[in-house]
Amino acid sequence: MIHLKSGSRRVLVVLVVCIVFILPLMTLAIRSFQSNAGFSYENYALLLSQSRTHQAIVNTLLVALISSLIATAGGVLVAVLVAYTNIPGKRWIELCVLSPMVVPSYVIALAYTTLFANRGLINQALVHWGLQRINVYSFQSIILVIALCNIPIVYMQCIDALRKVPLEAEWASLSSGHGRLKTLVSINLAQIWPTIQGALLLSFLAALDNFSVPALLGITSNIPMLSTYIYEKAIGFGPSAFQQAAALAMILSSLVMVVLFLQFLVSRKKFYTKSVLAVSEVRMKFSKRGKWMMLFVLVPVFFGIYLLPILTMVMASFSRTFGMVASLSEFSLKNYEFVLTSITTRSAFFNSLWFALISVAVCLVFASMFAYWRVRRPQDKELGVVEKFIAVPYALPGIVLALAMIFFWSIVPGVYGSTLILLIAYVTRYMILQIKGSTSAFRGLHPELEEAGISAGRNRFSQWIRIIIPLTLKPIMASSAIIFISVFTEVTLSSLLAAANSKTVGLSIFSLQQAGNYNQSYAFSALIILFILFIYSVFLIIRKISVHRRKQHDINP
Amino acid sequence: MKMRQKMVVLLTIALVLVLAACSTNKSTADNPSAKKGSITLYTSQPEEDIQKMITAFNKTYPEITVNYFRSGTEEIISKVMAEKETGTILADVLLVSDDATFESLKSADLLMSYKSSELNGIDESFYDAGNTYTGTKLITTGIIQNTDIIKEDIVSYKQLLDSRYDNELNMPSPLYSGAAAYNLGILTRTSGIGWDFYEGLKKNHVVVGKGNGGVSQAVVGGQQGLGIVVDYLAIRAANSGSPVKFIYPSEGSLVVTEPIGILKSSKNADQAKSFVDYILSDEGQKETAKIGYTPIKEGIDAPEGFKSVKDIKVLSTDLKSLVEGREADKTKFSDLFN
Repeated sequence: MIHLKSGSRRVLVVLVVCIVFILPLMTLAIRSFQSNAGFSYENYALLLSQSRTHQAIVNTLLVALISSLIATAGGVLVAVLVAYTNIPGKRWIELCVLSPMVVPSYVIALAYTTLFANRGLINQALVHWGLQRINVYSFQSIILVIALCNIPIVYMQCIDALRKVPLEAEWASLSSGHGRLKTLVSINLAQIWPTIQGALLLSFLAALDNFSVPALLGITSNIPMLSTYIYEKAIGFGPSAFQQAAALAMILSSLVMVVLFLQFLVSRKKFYTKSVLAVSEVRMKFSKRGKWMMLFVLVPVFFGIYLLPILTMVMASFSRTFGMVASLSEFSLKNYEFVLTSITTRSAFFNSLWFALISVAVCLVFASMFAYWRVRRPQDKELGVVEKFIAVPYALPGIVLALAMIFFWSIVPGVYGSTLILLIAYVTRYMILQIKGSTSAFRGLHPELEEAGISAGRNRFSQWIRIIIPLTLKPIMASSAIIFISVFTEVTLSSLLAAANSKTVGLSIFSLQQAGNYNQSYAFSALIILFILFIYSVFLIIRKISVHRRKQHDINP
Repeated sequence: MKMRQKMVVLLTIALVLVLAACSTNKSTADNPSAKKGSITLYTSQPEEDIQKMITAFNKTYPEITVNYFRSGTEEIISKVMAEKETGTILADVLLVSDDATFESLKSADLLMSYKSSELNGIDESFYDAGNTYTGTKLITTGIIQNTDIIKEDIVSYKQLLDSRYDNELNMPSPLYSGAAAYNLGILTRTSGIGWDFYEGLKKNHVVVGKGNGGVSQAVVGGQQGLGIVVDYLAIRAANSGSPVKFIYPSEGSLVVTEPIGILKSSKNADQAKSFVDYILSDEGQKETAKIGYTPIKEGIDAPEGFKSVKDIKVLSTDLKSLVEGREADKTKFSDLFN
């Protein structure tokens, strides 16, 4: 183990963190003030005088606000249903609601474009009944799809908090004569109000960061949003385009900073539920009739929102021509053939796989060392600041980070244009996730256990293998799983940083759609969903085996 | 300790030897098919097409790997310019839509002059006098019509402005597609068409997508009934049974030659030249026709459904004003459609 006590090592760590996590963003800030004549406000002045910029800012804020309100309402509603009621099929509901965590947002957006295709089934039916067609390439769809993608954020936060609201408070309210609904609002929701606020802000941030949904649904219908506007500038022509992209990135970042500040204010008021146990008792019982009525409403709604678009997309992927398979004669495996044999999609798949594995490995090693240090030496106060620095690239929108990476790492030869810059970008962005996971894992590990190991004669290394790792594996692996999925399906960073030999899955699907090869993008998306499900089931099987083994071990020590 | 030191020394020597062996350039001048290496190609050709071309290329040159990046012409040029600004241009070869694009690269002194041995049979109007770029095929832009949706005969661009085609039009964006940018430059400088044509299209709520692929897919799939698109996408779709047909408009056709050029900064010039030679060779041109384009070399037949260049009425204007006006044209288009 590293000797952490040496002061120079601490300085080194702070220095490295600053260089990797903070300097790129400073470079971005500096570049935004650059013009041909040196330091100037020119870029900002020009941009802020253009109506397209105003439009982009307004659109971005509106989308973020409305989608986060919808996501919060939806997330809280489902969380209450799952945490408190006795409706059947909770596992399926949870699976559906959390599916946007594994299915990338661009796949969801793609799926909706097939469902609401101009001459697809739904629109044909609407026209038949004399109604207006639904245009999926619209402002409203962007809001709804982003809301759908952010519901899991709200759900995860609220479900735990809901379960921790003390039953006694509810009983007190109920026995004073308040109805069930009034209790729900004035006790449960009131108690988790700070959590709801926090979740709202988180989904607001996620909406600000979202690039793929506005890119897929907004570019062709000319709905400017800051994230896609930055992208367009960055790939635009001319020397000042880059600086303008930088200025736009700073504008977007300042919006993010405001939200982060609000988050900080909210988190201070948070009700500390650390020492309270979560209770999974059913608190709101529906009658048998009530249960079935709920199901009657919920099943079609969930099917329609979550499964139907994906099914439509899969069906379209088997079509020889564009759009849905109208008849058996149009059925063809051509698209899958292309995706499975094409050099680009195959290399994209393996690239993304490698990126994901390497990112997870690097984050694991460094984050675990950092987390261990943080937990075991709370007297090193500067680690708190260092952790905040590491969190910055994750808090900022992906497109901003991508631009910062280009500006900063192009100074080092051989980085830009190679796979290295993408790797650096991934590690920079997702390191904080692993740190959070590892920190909470180590916090749950009592030092006495380690000391017991030492006094029993084990050396440091076997201590890690026998004691520390088995006890902390689950929470650490949970973070690694999130990082793996995020890197594997990532598109925002790849859009600006990928080169000819480092295409990624997300970028590949995006490019196929942009080039008009819709059916191939559907086929590839379907295969990726299959792959993710496969990884997930492997994960579950491994967990089942390890639990089984542990049980066996307990029985036969 | 002494043993350890010996091991370190031995390993270092071994490492140095391995590195030295790897960096030795074997002479391949006399045996072209043994040419090794890799090149990076930036192209606006559809993915399937460029992959087929690379596969065919590798039959003759199995040891040269072609890594490619595919996007719309305008985005590719931006990427090259951005790379130039950050210091290293990663592309070796460019294969994008039109000469005007290459002219601006030429004036920025980014292109290598290479006179291919395969120029015989290619009309000299199709390649640069300084040999910095050479046309590889003939692509015309015209109208695609979904005959299930639009039953009447469509013959001209002007017809598209009729109000009955409101919400039935789709076109590529000059901000992404080089061919569309080229067309914009020419059409707005052609009397009788001009910017009024584009304003008329806007009145009919034309969907401005990204590339030609999107236009073709949209009309083939019935999203819109009419589109302005390159010939090969429409003709191939018609040949494979889709209910579409391609029309050469009565006003005239816009012809691009999708030139190929090598970047001056390329570190793989040798391999790049082999690639250029292959595309321009008889074999490469036959492959081009097989994939579904009108070849540029005389003596190679165009595939079914394609008109040969002598049967096409070509709309053109002077190249210099096209090149100079391109950025302004794109900005004006962007303002018009925003």
